[in-house]
Amino acid sequence: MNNFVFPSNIYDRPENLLSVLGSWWADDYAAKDQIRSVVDGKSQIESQSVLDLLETIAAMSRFSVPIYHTDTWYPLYLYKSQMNTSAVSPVRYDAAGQLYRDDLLYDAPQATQQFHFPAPEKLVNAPLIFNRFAGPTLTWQNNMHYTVAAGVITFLWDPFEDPRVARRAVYRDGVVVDTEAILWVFRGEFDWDTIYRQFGYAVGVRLQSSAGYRDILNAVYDAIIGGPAGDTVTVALSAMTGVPLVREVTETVQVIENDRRGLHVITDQHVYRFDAAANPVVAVGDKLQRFDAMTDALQIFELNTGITPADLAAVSLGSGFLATCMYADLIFENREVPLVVDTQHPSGYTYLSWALGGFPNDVTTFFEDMHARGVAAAQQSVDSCGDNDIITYPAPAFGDPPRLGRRGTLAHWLDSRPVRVGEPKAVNLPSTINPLKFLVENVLRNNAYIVKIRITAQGSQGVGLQNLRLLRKIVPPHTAMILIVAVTAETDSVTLDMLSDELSQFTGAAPQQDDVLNLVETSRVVVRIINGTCQ
Amino acid sequence: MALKVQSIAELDPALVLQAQAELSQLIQERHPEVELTRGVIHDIVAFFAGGISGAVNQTEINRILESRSLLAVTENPQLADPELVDHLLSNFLISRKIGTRARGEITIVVQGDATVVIAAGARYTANGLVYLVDAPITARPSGTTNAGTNDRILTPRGDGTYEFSVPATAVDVGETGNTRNGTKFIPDPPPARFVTAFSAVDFVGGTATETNDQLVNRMLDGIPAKVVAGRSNIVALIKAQPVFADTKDYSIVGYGDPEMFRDRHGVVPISGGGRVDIYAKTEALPRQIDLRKTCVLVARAGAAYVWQTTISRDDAPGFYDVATVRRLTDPSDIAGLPVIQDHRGWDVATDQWQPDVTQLTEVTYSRYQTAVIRFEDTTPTAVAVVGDETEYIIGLRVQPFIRELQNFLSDKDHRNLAGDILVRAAVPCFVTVNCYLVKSPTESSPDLDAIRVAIAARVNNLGFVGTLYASQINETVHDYLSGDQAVSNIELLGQIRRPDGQTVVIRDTHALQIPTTPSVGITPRTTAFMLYPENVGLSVRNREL
Repeated sequence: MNNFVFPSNIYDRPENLLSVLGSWWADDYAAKDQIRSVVDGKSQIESQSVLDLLETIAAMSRFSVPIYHTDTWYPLYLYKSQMNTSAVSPVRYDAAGQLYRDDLLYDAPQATQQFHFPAPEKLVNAPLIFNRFAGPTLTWQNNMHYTVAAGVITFLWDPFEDPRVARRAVYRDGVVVDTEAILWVFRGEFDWDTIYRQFGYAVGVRLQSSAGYRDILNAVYDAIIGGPAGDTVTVALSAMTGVPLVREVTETVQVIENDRRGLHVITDQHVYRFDAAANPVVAVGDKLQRFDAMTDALQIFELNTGITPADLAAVSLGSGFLATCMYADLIFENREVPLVVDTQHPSGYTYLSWALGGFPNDVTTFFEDMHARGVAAAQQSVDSCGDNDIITYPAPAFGDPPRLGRRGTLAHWLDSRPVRVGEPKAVNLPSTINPLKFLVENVLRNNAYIVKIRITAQGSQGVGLQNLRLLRKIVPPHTAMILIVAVTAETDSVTLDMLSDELSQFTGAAPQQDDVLNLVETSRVVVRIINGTCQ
Repeated sequence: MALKVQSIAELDPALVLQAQAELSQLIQERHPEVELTRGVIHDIVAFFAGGISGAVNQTEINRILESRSLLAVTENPQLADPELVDHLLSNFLISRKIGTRARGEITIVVQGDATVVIAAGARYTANGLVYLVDAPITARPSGTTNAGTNDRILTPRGDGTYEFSVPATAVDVGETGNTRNGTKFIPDPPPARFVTAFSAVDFVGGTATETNDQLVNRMLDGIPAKVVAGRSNIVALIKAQPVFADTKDYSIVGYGDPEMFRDRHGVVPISGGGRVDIYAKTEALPRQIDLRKTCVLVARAGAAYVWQTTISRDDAPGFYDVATVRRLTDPSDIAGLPVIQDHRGWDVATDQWQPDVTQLTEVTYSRYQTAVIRFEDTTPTAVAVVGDETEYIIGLRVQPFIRELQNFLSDKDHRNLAGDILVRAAVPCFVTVNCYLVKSPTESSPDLDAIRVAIAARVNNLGFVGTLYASQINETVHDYLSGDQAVSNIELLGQIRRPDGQTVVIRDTHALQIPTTPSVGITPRTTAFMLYPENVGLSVRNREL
């Protein structure tokens, strides 16, 4: 919480400075008012120096490094010659939805009802603009009277037509060549790239200056300095998605409410705001720990117990996970599917398969590879095996001793017989299998975890999932994070018993266009679609 | 200290103008009658007390801020004060590395079996770089038995010439002084009866004094916890050991990376994690190790004798290839005998802790790699029976410290229980660069040796980047050109020795890109560029007028 103190330093009380000059200049000198004005002005300039010093001190720590540099007063010079030129056109060449027809021409100013000027270099925010310091007669407010974006400041009214704005002619060689207006930006914020220049460069992390950038940077630094921990990954993901996490060591939930701005989770210490699409996963009275999630917008599932999260639809595995060279990914769905049992497989061992998403040849390759590995394991010596790991095969001829084999294939391990004689048949095996559950219980539980992000419930202040590449700096190399990005489609429902429905068939139209948003597009991170909604 | 403003000229005019405008505005608002566009108030009060004085304070504060950033210091020479930089580096637990000179031995070939004296400080040049002999050396005739510390015995080369070696050190600090075994050296002046001279071993140990840019890149090595945890931590742990402090680059492959195969050994053919492969490029270029090996005659094919020897895992841990095979009596600068078979294997059997490896491609270039080498020798020999043995010199190219790194990381002092880290030498992409240097007929040629060394240094310090751009070669060469000189027709060629022993050739004129084929162990994360200066082909051409 901001703490306002006045006077905050000696320059807030310039009369004290005046008295330092002596009573002659402060009280007796005929033009003492002018001296006072000079001291006032000098105090103002030195106040800026104090502000700069405080920023510098704050920048000593990566936790408090300022996002922007603040200038208490900044002169904004506007030149009539620069107004509404093509250089400050709000229509940008690379903006979406622009159609270059008769009304938009290259390098030609666009007809506009507003007044665009170049913004001062690196200015990103100008909360207030005045025409004077003392007793201003003109006060303009950001996003009401003007906007600052992409290096352009746009006014609703022409500053050169407003008599309250100081103007002067600009001469060159004795000839008026332009008109200059001056306004004063109060507490303007300038992006000096301080976070990157002080800390980001050292660990090779560069993003747009923002609180999220600082959070990610701190997560990376924490992981590097202290070693990677779960919290560092959580904090980094929170910064990317803009989904807040519990800030204090312990907090207690007191209120959970929705209003027109979204979902609010209010604890005894903070008010957390989420997108309206987020669903709370906490209840009033819950005691929360630092970095706990409060909604389903960002969830992390550790798989070490082998339990498959119920609301995961599927997991897609690509070349980073699959042992055999595959054409594309395999998709393991979280639903029961029939187990296909082949007891006539040429290998002589019962062959199992089930429905997997992916190219049919890849699916076949996967099961054949798994079966071959299982057969190889089954054919190893049984000398060191306990009884529970042995299968007894009937003697090929009367009088021969029975042959012993290892449990090696998947069918062997799913075999429910207490005493295993011969290869298992369908009746000895489960009739269905859950592919994702199988995957989690047998593989992913060892060193992987799942992060689920609901795109529609992301916060507005997130720095974006394109920064997932940075997690390579944080995630230990012997573990893997599987990210599931849930894109929710709109749903509707009907009550069937209220309908008298006549079924018919029709051929649906082919989609004209089917865009997949580039949520993440880096060489380190790949987004795959694992399911969809038919509409 | 560089923080203080020493001259008004150092101030940013915009900052002065801003402070001046602020003071002028305040006075103007309260006292419209005051003349502020010229005169004493403008010059003394607004400009000096307001603009200059305010700007000085703010500039000095900003310099303090900038002085906390090595990036800013690098950009602003005004702040490149050694004391400031030292303060800054101490925050990241690093200090600037001071450069060292490359050292090695020069083999000198002379005519006749008579004493030769080489003075200390005798000057030899290779690749345009100067080396001085470390100590006075007296080479005495072959057969001499009483040799002092600084004496050498002349060794006959079989053609009436004799050779001996002298220790030498590069004059200039830096890794450019590291030259390859067999590099020609030119004496100035030549000793008596001089025939030729070349490096007897690789010249090694040359390192450059770190620049600010290099320090920026190394800051990440200083602050991490030195533990086997995240990638940065592992690298920091390695580089915190004095013996590994000067090693170059590491690429760490783990769970979820397509290059990782060792975590797919279970019945379910899916990665299970828990395995880490570290690809190490410990030095700019591989070193050559000469081994004196006993070889067995395994076959005769006409006049050719096929000999075989075994390279154990400790002979040349993680070696890339056989650079040369020669008889003990051969001069050390001959081309060598042709290798006809290089069959790799691995050996983990005697270790208490063993990495999880099941196939050769998972273990190639690691300290566990072994090899059986066969080569042909057509020299008539008295030994003619299969099974007979004799000794040869086998020269192997290796990245140093692969065994030491593996032992260090396998040790329970550093390894997590159940942790499985395998250190492998970076898959080598041996690069050749060819280009034209165009000049006007009246211009003298640029320093070609210096250009070759600079290009090699640039390429060898790229790390695991995946792509070598022609523009990087262009930029490097341009530092050595003058006047109307220019670079053209850059050709980049790479030969990648895959872990399975196959060779992949890549070629381009714009960008040499490491293929992404994890199934054979080649991706930008496993493969590094390596360029010997002698593999830079420069052709000087006169511009046609």
